[in-house]
Amino acid sequence: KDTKENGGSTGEGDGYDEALRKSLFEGKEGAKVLALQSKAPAPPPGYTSSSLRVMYSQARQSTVAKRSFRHIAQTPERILDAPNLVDDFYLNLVDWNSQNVLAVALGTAVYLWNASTGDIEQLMETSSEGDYVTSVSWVTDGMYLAVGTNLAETQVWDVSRLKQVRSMRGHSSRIGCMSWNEHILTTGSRDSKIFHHDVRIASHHIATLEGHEQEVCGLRWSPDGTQLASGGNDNLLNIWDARGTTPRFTLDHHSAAVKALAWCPWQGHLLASGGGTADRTLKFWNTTTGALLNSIDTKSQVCGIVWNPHDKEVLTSHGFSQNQLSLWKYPSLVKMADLTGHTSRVLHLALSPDGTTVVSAAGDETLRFWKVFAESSHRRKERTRMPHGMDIR
Amino acid sequence: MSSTVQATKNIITLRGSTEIVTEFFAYSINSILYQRGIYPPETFDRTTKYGLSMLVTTDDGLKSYLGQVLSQLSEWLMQRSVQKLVLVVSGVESGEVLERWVFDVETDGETTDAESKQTKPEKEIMGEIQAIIRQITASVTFLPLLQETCTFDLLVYTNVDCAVPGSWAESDPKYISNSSEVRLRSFTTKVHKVDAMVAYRVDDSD
Amino acid sequence: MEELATFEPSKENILPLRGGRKPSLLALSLRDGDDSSVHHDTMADFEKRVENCDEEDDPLEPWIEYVQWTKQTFSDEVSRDQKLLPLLERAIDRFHQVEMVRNDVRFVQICLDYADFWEDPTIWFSFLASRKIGESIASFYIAYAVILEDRNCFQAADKVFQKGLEKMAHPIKKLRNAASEFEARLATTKNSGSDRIDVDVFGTRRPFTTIPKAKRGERTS
Repeated sequence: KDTKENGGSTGEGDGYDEALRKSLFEGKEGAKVLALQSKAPAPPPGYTSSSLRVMYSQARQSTVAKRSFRHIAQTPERILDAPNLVDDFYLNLVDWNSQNVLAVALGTAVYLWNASTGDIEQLMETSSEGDYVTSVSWVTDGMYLAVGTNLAETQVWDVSRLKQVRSMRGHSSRIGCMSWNEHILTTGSRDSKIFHHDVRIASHHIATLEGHEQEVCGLRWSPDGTQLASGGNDNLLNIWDARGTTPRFTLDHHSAAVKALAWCPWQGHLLASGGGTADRTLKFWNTTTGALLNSIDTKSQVCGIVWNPHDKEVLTSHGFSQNQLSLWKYPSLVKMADLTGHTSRVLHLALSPDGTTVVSAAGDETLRFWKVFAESSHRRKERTRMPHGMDIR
Repeated sequence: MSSTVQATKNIITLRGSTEIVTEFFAYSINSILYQRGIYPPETFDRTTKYGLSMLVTTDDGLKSYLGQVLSQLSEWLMQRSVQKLVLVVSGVESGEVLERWVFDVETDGETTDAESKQTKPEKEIMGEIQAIIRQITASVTFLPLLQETCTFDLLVYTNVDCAVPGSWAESDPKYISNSSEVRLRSFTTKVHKVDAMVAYRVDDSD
Repeated sequence: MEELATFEPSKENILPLRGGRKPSLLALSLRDGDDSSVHHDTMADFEKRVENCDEEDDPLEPWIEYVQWTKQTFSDEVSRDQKLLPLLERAIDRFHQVEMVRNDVRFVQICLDYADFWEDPTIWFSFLASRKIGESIASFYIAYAVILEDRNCFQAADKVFQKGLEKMAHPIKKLRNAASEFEARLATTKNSGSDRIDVDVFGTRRPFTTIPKAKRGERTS
């Protein structure tokens, strides 16, 4: 009986090696192909996976509940150009500090935009060929900015002096996410490891956390500094105790990369996490017990999460196909609004120090400022190009 | 299922390996059926296996079908006559074969049920299986959307001298013409080696 | 054969395509990004071919190949907007009045791809219907009905299926299957009454109308 997988000739240009394939996938001489005579039950009539269809569906449709909520400004207060913002899910390129300064990594450089004055400064630029900035993170008081790079360097910058004060190495691949806990800077890398660095001492590398098998792309210390949440391309969410080097909980409910992580500011040990393309869910965890509290299908890749510090609400940012920000009531998870306008996926979110405004950064190379967490006075629609210094090429 | 590896020396017998491989097939078939949306998501339950959250069907008819196939497959694995297991996804109405998940099985010639020189830590095997299951999930990002109601069939390639029970019959291999193919990771118990790949047709005109 | 292991580290950067992705082009696109310079020569060749398409026996063919290559090669949304959208618009401008291609399944597919760029694709479908583009093609009716069904316009979707069946759109078996699956779904939903939104399903052709263009969100670059 002929058992060649001869139907499998590939399309043109697949550059694939016939001999190799034969050796791997062709049955041995004289195999029988057998099947059970009774067949698997048929799916329900007319059933086609609508949950999957939404993943490919590009037409936009709104599913916001028809209920009256507080007034939510639907348009951004401000749009800034962000040329060369790298369109890569796994990076974390925007952070806002307590001094109202927004740090944004655009390609090889980091810029500081003072939201109070509108002033722009270039903080740094990578110097090596092939290097670019893959993450930024402010220390709590906003005096120092950590910068992670594609060539696996972790830098700490004194912002008042525009001067680099530390260079820390050790990872073998890019640093896509970072989070501070006082003087401890925690870094997550494509090498799947998490490092704790004590930035005060010369031998800064004080611990290695090995709980992921692929790139670490989400990292957040809890507000009280007792727990660290990490998410990876291995679909895992790990919860670590401050001193632990093995995860306290390994939460495996997401079925895609976990990048979006946010600790609730008004309830201890409540964590929100979001999953990537194959998952699309927003989940809530009690990190004391490891219990999954709630989960909802957002219908698209979750890239960012921010809690409303004033109210029981959470804002998420999404990828294909609507590229929207969605505001959810917590814990009912009723959707209050979709904020649209970005024309590519909304990769990063950061909250202003006064807790009223969220900045979103997207693959369309714009930053948009949404005053979503306060009763807005009057809506301003303003479109500002970043002045000259912002264009890096 | 019971522990499949003797904890003391991690010696893997043919029977132990057969259990591991059969269990792997059970979970990967369930994963494919869930991830590809062949059956409604609400007919699956979440369970933890291989350190991963897995979805397993709760449909009695489907459970019984899978049980029958897998127990026979397990017997054939013990006889060392399995060459591959193929999961074929096809349209209910059109009958068109849309996807073919191929698991090649190689069996070590020397290991018998009674005697084995093969050792491998269980943790290592589980890690390899975990990686394949994760890849099955990740594959939805490049596979085409199944636009019609689909069903599936399981084909077992066996040696020619293999005894065939009456409930089984020879089948067409159900190839896909002009398919694209992507290889997944493999795993080995050192008694059985399983290579995985998926063949599908990129549809430019649909 | 491509290994899934080469895509997996970047799985979240893959934009799903309804028809699936060619492994070889996906590997290239993940390796080189959407760096146009890498693809410069290929694009130049395609441009030359579409420019001189009248010299080919089948003028549509170079366009089709160009579109398929663009779909597979430029995987992120920004380059989709920048590369695929204008190309589809050019192809539609060039061919929409050519009688011969109105029911050429390849041209109809270009029109269906273009629908993806619409905020409200029903406007586009209604335009196509008014021009009898895709009138005898099953995939036109199926795509149109899916859009309507997603918007809970069940009656309109039903109308679309009925029209397609009446026109014996090709392949009719595929259309019949889709229609019967739709009926089965309809039977299990609690929907009743008339559609929430009124869609002018088949459009009316008015003089002096221009071809509608997909409107996407404003861009800065």
